Amino acid sequence: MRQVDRPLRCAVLSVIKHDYVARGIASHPEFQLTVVADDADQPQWAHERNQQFADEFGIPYVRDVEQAFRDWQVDVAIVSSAAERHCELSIKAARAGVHIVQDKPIGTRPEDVRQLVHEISKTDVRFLLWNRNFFPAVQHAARKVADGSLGDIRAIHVDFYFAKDAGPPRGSRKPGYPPIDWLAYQLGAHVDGSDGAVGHDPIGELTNEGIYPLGYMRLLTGRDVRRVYASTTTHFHQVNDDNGVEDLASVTLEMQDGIIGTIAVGRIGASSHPSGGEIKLHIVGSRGAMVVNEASPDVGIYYRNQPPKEARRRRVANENDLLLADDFARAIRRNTSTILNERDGHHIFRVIEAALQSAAAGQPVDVV
Amino acid sequence: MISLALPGSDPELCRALECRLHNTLIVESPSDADAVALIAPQFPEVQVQNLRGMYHYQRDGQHQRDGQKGTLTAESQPGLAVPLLVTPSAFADTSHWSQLLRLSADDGIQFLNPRRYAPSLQLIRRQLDAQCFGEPGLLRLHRWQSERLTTTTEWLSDLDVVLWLMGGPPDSILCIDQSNRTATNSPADQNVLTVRGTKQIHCRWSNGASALVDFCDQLPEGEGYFSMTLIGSSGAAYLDDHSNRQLVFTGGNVQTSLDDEHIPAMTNMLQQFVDSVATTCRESSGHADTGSRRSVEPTTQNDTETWHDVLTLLQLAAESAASGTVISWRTE
Repeated sequence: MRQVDRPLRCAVLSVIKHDYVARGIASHPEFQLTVVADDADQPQWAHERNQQFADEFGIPYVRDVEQAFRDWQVDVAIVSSAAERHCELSIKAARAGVHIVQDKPIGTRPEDVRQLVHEISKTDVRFLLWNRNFFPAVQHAARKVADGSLGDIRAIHVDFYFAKDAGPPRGSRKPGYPPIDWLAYQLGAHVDGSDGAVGHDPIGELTNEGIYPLGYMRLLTGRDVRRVYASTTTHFHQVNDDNGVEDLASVTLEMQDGIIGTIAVGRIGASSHPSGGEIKLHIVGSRGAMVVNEASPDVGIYYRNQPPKEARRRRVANENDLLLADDFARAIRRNTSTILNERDGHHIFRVIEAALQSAAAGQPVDVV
Repeated sequence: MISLALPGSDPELCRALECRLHNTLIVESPSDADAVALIAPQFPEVQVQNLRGMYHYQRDGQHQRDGQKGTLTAESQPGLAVPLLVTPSAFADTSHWSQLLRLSADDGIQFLNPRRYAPSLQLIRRQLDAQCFGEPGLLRLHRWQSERLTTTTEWLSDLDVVLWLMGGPPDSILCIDQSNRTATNSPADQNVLTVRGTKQIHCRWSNGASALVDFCDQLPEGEGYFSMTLIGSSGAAYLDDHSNRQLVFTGGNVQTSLDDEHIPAMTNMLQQFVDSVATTCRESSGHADTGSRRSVEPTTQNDTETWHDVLTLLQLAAESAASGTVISWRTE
């Protein structure tokens, strides 16, 4: 690991999905985007997206990740590739002694995630799994928990609904028509930002978004999940149905110290919420309870000829990206842990994996 | 005009209902009533074998009220019974369940859940029936109260709403009982979820739908909290005390005050009951139906089968909590 006094030099690796991670890091004065890099064997559309991002920031695009690490004195790798490549790229960074900030999910295969955690354990690199724990309302809740206002946490429930569409509704494919190809759909949806998990491997909403509610729980309770019971279904979107991945899930969690938790996660369609989706936390403690609207503070905006997809209530004062970057910078400078490190991410991955097994089996599953 | 008695009810509620109920005269004594609504019966000492008699007011029967025990009794005289509305509190004592479930509309008894008649839930049900939400996929419900205010009635009412909106009983149930206190005081209650502690009930239906029901009696003494979210395949409904509270500034920290639906809910329920009584009277006398036609969903009314399902769900939840396993729905 390199300790440096200058701005931390960042390699943006495979910025083909959402670029909010790279932009979030770039918003912090301690980080400097230096190079975009990807492996040469990636498809042309990936190279085009990488090049486009590099051009916007006026930095080079290098088609060799290890070479980029060497030639550009990289301190930090920003990984926002296809989900199935997250671990592969982060492992390359760890082996090069480069700090890692990675988009969710932490991975798609258990062996990859285990390998990533193992590689990081052999180094001093810091790892941050991108999350929403610095949203103002979540921090508000965290302060109330920390100052003892609620007493000991007994139960925590999180609703996490994204009110976005994902192509045609479930049941709309006519007989004889082929199923929707996952990657082709995601590539097309990139135009208006409605793509979900771009990549060859289809992943459902619980896999893709479960990190967020489970990240809240980890922040607020600091406890591991012991056992889960889950229901998953494809309820909304043909692309999910055709590819056998859930777009709605409910999970009951039994946590350490007898804490009960539940999460409800879904990509519920644009028609189901006027402002992008309901995200709420319900926290019960031994001395009190709290109901938290994750979207607060917000402002209602309504006007004639308003585009139908425009949020009617707009979040304000959200510094999540900047504060995540600051947390990451502090972890690097002071050699401390990040707000959601690789071990946290691994645990969340195992919870989701157990939940998917539970949903398939119809039985509770221990988180191992 | 139907004479309606509301024995034991809050006088303020009676006054509020007087100006809201159509075709109805609220009377003080059950002996003067064409119909009786027991909207908050608290008769813990009632004996099962006397249930029918107790719950049937007679026009000309002998009435007495035992103030000490809060027991209301009447001599049963078949053929003279007046129509009776009984709310979920009748099920609070589990030893009455089997007896209650044997009663039916043929006995002149209607078991209604006032919660179904809340304007918010009526609206959600109307939208659901109009296919605005598509197929229900996930129902999430929170009911938090202080220990003192938590009653079986509250839970039964909520579970009834869950089954009402989801279209019937689930295929399987997992209940996590945080208090780990499933044992209860009487042998009759052994298979019934106690209303103490925090309980999480996870229901699954075979079509992939699910419900997460969170009951908690651990709030500090004071007001409770309710919220319900229904996610359908093409729409959703969000009902939450969080968004239905007004801010009150009286110095110090801001207080909040909840917009209450209790009186409209009671009005809706009682009007439907009165209308059904009036319809029966008119049919028996050969006159045309001229009921008030208050806007209540026709699917709102309970029957004994729905209550059987609610009670079964509560029992299976208790079984699940005690064993820590998923319990399949039993059709008996």
